[in-house]
Amino acid sequence: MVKLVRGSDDAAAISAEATRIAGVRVSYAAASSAQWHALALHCASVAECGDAIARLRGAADVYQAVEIDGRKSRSAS
Amino acid sequence: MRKLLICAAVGAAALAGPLSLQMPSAQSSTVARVIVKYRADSTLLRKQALSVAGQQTLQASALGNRIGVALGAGRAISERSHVVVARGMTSQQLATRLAAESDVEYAVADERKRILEVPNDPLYSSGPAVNTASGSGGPVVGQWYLKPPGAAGTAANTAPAAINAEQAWDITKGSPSIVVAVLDTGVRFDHSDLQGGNVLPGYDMVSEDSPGDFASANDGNARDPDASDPGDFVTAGEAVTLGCAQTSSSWHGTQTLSLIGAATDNGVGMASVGHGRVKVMPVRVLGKCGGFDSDIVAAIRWAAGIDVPGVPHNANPARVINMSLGGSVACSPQYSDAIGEANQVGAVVVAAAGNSAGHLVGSPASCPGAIAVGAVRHVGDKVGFSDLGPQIAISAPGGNCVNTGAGEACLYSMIAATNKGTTSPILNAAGGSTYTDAFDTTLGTSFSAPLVAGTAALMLSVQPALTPAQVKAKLQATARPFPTTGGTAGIPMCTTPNGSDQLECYCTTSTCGAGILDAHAAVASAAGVQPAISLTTTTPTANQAVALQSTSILGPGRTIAAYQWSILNAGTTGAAITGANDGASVVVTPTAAGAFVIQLTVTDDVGTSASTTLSVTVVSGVVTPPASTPTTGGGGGGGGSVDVGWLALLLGAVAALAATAPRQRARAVSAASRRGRSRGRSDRA
Repeated sequence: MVKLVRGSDDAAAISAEATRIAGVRVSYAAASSAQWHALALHCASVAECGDAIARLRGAADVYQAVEIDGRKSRSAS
Repeated sequence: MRKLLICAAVGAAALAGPLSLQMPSAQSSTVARVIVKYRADSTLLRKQALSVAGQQTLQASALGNRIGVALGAGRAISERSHVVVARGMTSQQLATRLAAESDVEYAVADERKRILEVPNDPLYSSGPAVNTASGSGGPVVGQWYLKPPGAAGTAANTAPAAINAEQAWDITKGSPSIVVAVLDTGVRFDHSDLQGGNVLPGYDMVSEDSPGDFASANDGNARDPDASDPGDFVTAGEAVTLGCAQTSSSWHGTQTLSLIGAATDNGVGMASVGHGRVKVMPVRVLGKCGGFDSDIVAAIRWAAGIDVPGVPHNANPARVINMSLGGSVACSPQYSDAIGEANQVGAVVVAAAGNSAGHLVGSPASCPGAIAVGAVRHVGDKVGFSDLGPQIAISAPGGNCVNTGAGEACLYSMIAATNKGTTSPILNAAGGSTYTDAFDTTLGTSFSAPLVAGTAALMLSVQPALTPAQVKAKLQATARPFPTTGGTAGIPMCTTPNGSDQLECYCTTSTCGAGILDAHAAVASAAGVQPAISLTTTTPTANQAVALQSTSILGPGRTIAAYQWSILNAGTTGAAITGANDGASVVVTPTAAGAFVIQLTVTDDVGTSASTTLSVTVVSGVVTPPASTPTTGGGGGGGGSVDVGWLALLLGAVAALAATAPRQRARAVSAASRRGRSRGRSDRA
């Protein structure tokens, strides 16, 4: 998930810019707000994805935060 | 509807004869009723050649003469006790005065008890008969967690952790204007116990795993308006591709939602905290193998009424959001952003602490602004599975078994609505609606959180103006203390998580929150008065009347039944109440400068009392500089000292001048400053 410095709901523009910055193909997954968006990085390896995420995190003028879109599960015992 | 009449211990005594009150004729609408019992050696008990009623009339009259109040005799209770009545004061005030009399063994307010409405849903009282052979039925104790806990130390106190929703319903059964969003696996809309008209359509916030891949969603599409639960079963193949364990469908969202919003008092199935009146709104965020953070934080915002790009506006913003889900421990920024925004628009966010057996609280429960809920056993100690730590705000029952042998019934599991399908749902029309029981158990902090969420909804039903922070504070302030006995023999006190499992243990306020949820106390707190005192005398001055006024706030539909003012600490002021101490205002006359503390206790028409205090500073009555100034220092040097009493006089003068005309403030301060400087100089030796 990325948090945009400047909020937007233009999915195509968000994924295009992320593709440019990450250096791998990035597709748009879902919006959580105008600032927070979930993106899918298409990498050939875990290492390549790691590098791509590092490049996104380095683009502080575009992204306030970059977080892994993890999973939560139900809290039943 | 079955009604259970809880009777006053004495007032309900089955005594012969009609109630005949001989009411004093004073003109006042306040009527005090007190049960008075005379001492065995009381001279008032001397036999007269009269009927019992006649004797007690004389007794009341004589007793009234002693305290200067016209007393009427009411119903006889025993040879030595009867009801007395008076006008112009509260029952408590009359009881206090009578109790001080030497002839009186005790005098207590003859309080009116109310009917407690016990819902007629059959599972509320008891689960179906236990059949160990087939592994079905129970728990015998029914929905024990919603019932009154029973008086501490009595045989009725079998489940001290029960939240007492029953008495909360006596105050409110909830308002349909309050919406609780349940972020979970969706819901089985057709369940037979969710047909009360209080289940909103909600939304399905589960997005695709990757473009065109809907494996987790299991409904063939991404986000859509259908919040129904298609099942979250995971096949052996999916366990590999999706990366989680093979499992049957949980119907988890139906379970959690039913605890908050199942139709209640409808003669069907189970009861819910929200009594079927509070609205519940399923927001589907969990599919197979859980749900993505991005969908959950989108749902938090949407549920609270904050727009999410690509999703239609939510026309029914939730005041409470329940999340019986969790994961990684740290609260990541997308959660803190979303929860903060939800709080900002007035949504209370409740989250389950997690079930990793005594480890750190998971996210989103660990996030600022969330009310993290831990789980306690029926006796009030921490249940083994519950996580713990300082992030937990409060604990509530989460189900526990006691019996753990193979094939044994779980004695204190929760009861929740579910579906019989193990993969896809079975329609209600085909008999798919059912309930969990003592064998198909409902256990976890997942089920503690809805009890808190439902209680928060009841609180907001009676006082919609409460902020999320106020709801949390009231939940915590009214929570019952954790017990330190009653658990399994030899269990330790809970400690801060240290990486090792921590199973059953005695809770502390630093590990399990402020205490055990008490729905009745929390709702009473929200509904009742919020006492406040305002000082109407601008500059309280010695030997002058100081006026104080109640500016208490009441819940909707409530009225104040009684005020009680008292001086808690007169300090050096000699302050005493002049005149009546049971009105909306009071007059206090201090005799010297200093500070006194006054307390106001307000009781509303449902018997909820609350108190507040105010410290009042009193200045001396005459602002005149002393004729001569004793020195306080023994030698020269320094800047001298300022006498505190003199400084108080100066400040009082400043306050008086400032209050009379704002334009004079600068000059007054200037004058005070000059006096201060002058005083300082004169102190030099």
